[in-house]
Amino acid sequence: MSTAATSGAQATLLDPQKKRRKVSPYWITAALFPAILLVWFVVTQLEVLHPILLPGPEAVLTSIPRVLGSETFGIHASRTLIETLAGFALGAAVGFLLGLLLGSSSVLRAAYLPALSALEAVPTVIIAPLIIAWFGFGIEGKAVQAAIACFYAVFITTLSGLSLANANSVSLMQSLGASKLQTLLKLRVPSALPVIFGGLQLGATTAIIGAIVSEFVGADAGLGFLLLRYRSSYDTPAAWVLILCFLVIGVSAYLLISFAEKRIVFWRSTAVSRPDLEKNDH
Amino acid sequence: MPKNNDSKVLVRLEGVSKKYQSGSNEIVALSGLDLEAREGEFLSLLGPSGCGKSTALNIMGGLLKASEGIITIAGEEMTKPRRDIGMMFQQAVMFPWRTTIENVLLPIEVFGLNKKDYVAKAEELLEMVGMTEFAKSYPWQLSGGMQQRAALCRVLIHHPKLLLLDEPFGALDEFTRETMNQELLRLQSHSGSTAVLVTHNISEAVFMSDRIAVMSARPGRLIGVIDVPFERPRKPELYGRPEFTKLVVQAREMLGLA
Ligand SMILES: Nc1ncnc2c1ncn2[C@@H]1O[C@H](COP(=O)(O)OP(=O)(O)OP(=O)(O)O)[C@@H](O)[C@H]1O
Ligand SMILES: [Mg+2]
Repeated sequence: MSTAATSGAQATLLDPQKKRRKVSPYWITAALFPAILLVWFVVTQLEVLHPILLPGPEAVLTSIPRVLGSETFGIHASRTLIETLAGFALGAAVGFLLGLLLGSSSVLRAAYLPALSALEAVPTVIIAPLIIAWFGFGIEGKAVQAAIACFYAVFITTLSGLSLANANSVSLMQSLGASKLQTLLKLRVPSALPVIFGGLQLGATTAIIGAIVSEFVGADAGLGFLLLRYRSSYDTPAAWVLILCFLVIGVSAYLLISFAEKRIVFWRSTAVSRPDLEKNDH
Repeated sequence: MPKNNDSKVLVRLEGVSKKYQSGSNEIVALSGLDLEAREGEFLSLLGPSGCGKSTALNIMGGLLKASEGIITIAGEEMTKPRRDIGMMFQQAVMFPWRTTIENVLLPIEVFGLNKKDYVAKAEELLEMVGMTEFAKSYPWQLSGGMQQRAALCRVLIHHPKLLLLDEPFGALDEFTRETMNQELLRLQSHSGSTAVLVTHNISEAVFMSDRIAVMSARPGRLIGVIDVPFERPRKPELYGRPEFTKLVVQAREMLGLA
C-alpha cells in the first residue's frame, strides 16, 4: 500500500498495470482482414458466383473513391447517421426511463413487462410500413423506427441491472432512512451501469439496423435508399462499398460507447482486481 | 423485566419475537427477548451462530419488523429507521464509485444536509483513524481493514446517539481486529454514544463491554447479563488479568461451553 500513499494514489497504483499490457487486441482484429480478403479473392477468381452477385475485392476497393466521392453521398450518409443517432438517443432515453419506472414498482412491472416484451417480438419489417404511413418518408419516421428497434435492449438491461445492487448496500441505505428515490439514484443506478452499457452496445447495433431496414421499406434518402438504387442498377461493387460503410458505422458506435463506458463506469475498468474483497463489490 | 429508572435506558426491547417464513415452514429466530441498553454504555450481544443476534440488531435499527413485542428508542416506539442511529455491518459496504471521503459523507447526503458543513468533520474522523492520505482513494485501493476504518468514520459522521454494530470487524484478521476494536472504543467514548455490538467472540465481548447480554441458541432469548466492571480506557494488559479470565469463564458457562 505504501506506493499509494500519495495524493495521486490512483495513478501510481494503476500505471504499472497498463505498462504490462502486451499486444493490443486490435492488432489481432487487423490480422483477420488479409485473411478475409484472401478467401474473398480466391472465391471470386474461381467464379463460384457470378461477379454481379459477388464482385471481387479489387472491384469493391476500387469503387470506394467513386461511391464516397459522389455528389450525393454526404447527404445520404448524414441522413442515415442523424436518423440513427436521434433514434438511438430517443430509444435509449425511453428505455432507461421505463426501466427505472418498472424497476421501482413491482405493480407496474407485473402490469406492463409482459406487454412490453411482446411488443419486442414484432419484427421491424412489419412496423416499418405503419411508421411510414404515420410519419412519412422523412427523418422523423426513420428515427422513430430506430428508437423502437433499440429501446428494448436498454429497457431490459436497466430493469435487470437495478436489482443487482449489493444486499448489504441496500441495508445501509435503508438504515440511513433513504427514500426509494435516493436508493435508486445513489445506489441502484450506479450498480446497474455496467449492465446498462451492455444494453447500449446492443441498442446501438439494433438502432442502425432499424434505420436501414426502414429505409429499405421506403425512403427518399439515406444509405439504405442508396444501396437499393445501386442494386437496381446492378452496380454490385458500389452496393458492397455501402455494406462496408455500415460496418464502419457499427464499429465506430461500439468504440464510442466503450470509450464512454471506461470513463463513466471507471470503477469497473480501472479497479485492480481484488478477489479478497470481491464480495463487497458490484 | 427489571426496570432501572436511575440510569436512563436508551433502547428497550420487551417480549420481542421474530418469525421468518421460509417456504412452508416457519423459523422462530427470536422468542420473547427482553433487553435494554442504557445511555452511553457499551453493550455486547453474545451468542452462538444463528441465535438471532443480527435479527435483534436489525430490529433495533428499524430494518426489520418484530413479529411481536415492543421496541422503544429514547422512550419512543420504533417504527422506521432513525437518523440518530448508525449501523455498521460485517462487510464495509463502500460504494466503489465514491472516494473514501465521499463514502464517509454519504449519510449527510441522504439526510439532505449541506455536505460542506461536514467536510471538516469527515477529515477529522479520517485523521483519527489514520486515513488522511486515503481520503481521495477509491475503495478498491484500500485494504479490508482500511475500508472498515472508513466505514467507522461514516457511521460516526452524523453523531448518532446509538451505534448498532454487527460484527463490524469479523472479516478482519486478529491483529487488525484488535486495533480496530481499540479505535472503536476510543471513538465511542469520545462521542459519548451508546453502542450495541454483536459478536460471538467471548473475550472480545468482555474486553469491549460494560455489560454483556448472553443469548441462547435458536430461538434466541436472553440467558443473562454479565456486568463488566473494568475501568476505561481499556488497555490490552486486561487480557492477562485473573478477573478478566473469570468473566470469560462465566460467559462460557452461561453458553454451556464450560
Ligand atoms: N431472511 C430470513 N429468512 C429466513 N430465515 C432467516 C432469515 N434471516 C435469518 N434467518 C434465520 O434466523 C435465525 C437467526 O439469524 P441471524 O442472522 O439473526 O443469526 P445470528 O445470531 O446473527 O448468526 P451469526 O452469528 O451466524 O451471524 C437463523 O437460524 C437464520 O437461519
Ligand atoms: Mg449475524
